[in-house]
Amino acid sequence: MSVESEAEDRPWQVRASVIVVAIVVVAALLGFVVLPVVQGRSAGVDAFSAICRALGLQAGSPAVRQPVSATRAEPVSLVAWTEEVIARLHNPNEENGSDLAANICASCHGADGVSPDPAFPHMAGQSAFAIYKQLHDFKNGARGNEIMASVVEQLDDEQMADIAAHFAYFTKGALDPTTPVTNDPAIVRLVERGITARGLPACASCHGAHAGGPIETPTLAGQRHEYLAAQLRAFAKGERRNDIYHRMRDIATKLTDSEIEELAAYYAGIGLYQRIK
Amino acid sequence: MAVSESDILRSEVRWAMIVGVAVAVIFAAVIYTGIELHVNPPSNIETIDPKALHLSNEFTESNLGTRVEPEGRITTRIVATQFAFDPPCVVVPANEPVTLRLTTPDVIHGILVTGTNVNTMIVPGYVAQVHTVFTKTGDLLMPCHEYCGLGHSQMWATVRVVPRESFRPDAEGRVACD
Amino acid sequence: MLFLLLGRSALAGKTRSEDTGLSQADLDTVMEEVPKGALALSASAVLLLLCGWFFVYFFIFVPRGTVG
Repeated sequence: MSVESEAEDRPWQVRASVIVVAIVVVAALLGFVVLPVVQGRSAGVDAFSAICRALGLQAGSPAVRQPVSATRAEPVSLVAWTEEVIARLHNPNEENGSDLAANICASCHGADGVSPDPAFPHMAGQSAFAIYKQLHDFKNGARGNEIMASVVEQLDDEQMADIAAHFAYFTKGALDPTTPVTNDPAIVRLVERGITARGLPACASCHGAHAGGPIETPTLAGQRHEYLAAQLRAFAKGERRNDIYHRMRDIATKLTDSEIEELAAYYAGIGLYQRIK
Repeated sequence: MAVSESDILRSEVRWAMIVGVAVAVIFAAVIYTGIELHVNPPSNIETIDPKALHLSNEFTESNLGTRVEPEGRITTRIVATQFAFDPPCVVVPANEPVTLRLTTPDVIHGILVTGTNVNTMIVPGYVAQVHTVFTKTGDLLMPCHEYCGLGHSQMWATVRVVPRESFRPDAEGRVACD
Repeated sequence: MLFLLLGRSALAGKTRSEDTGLSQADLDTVMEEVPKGALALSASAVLLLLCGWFFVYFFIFVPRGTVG
């Protein structure tokens, strides 16, 4: 570029910079001051709040009064995965856990977590989070079961964490296959792909290893057929309601009786217990 | 050279003016709708603890869905989880201001309501909020539009827009799909 | 930028004009017309874009219900 044209360009550079800065300033004034104040006035929001809302310093829109909720919490489960709970599950008192398990759990669920009676679920293969959540829910009445309620009555949170950690063999869903090991196309579809039209997500999208869903999602592979079918029916009827935000109630309600039976049979039949031992 | 430097300059200045006018006209339209129709970018900075969402007062299970609040405001609260919305169906009246409040305990989700301008991300730790007026009645599809995991494609809900006269809140002010 | 490019192509044309028998005066006449055409083309493109924006804004965005 020649010296001449550089000299010619300089005033334009100044003008362009002034114009760009002016546009930014005017736009900011319009967007963060004028519009919010005018909108807030007709919605009954004071000018200061309106500007704060437009800037994102306060919750809500400058054009609408912020809704309030007077509802009191009615939680379906009191378990929250706080750092303390997670730390306890990772660093349990192992001796305490095995003593408690031998004294109060083993008679029904088996010393190694493999239950001898079809009416009782296996503990082997579950994660500490899955077991802790259910023990806590039994104790607080979030999940109704007379036998379990009386068993966990005298346990405190730390003891429940120790027991859960004692039985924890794997992380969430480690045994659940992501690909069905059956030739029944209807079950393959439910387990592996889900059914979009019915709003049914694939079982494996939460119960599979490294899948989604909350950390307390139980392992299904190898679980008792009777137990799985009974839980799905209880969810469908609303008798069991400790699945936070209707996760399983919504799904179980959409399943037919025969689908419940077949899914329970499918997951019960996955012979992974030989591999655990 | 046929085109002189001053000709180029004049054309560029004119052209810049045309662009300036176009931008100004669009600005004016946005400001007009902002003042007349209260259009806003639907942003909301409001935090909530995702670990204890189910223990919170507002997003407790029994408070989800549509409710006519004591002061007359219609608010619909929805929790997005992997891989469903709770509740899976909500009722809202047509031609009435409605506030949608959404949050999630797990991962980033998003929603749009087909045929409307409702479109927001749902980020754990924050409450997403959209104020809107539904103009068309019928069952509108509300899919999750932010990939959230393996069950993402099965994650959708229904927004049932009913005429004002069919919108009948119960004693607590709540309205739900059957 | 557009005009600079046009200016360059006019220079490039000069060498060829010896073969085609076009005079410098002919070229200047053509070059006077070219910016008008370019201006008309770009102006109509911008106008169409602006009309498209207004159509979407007032006939699709606003009737779908306001948000905020």
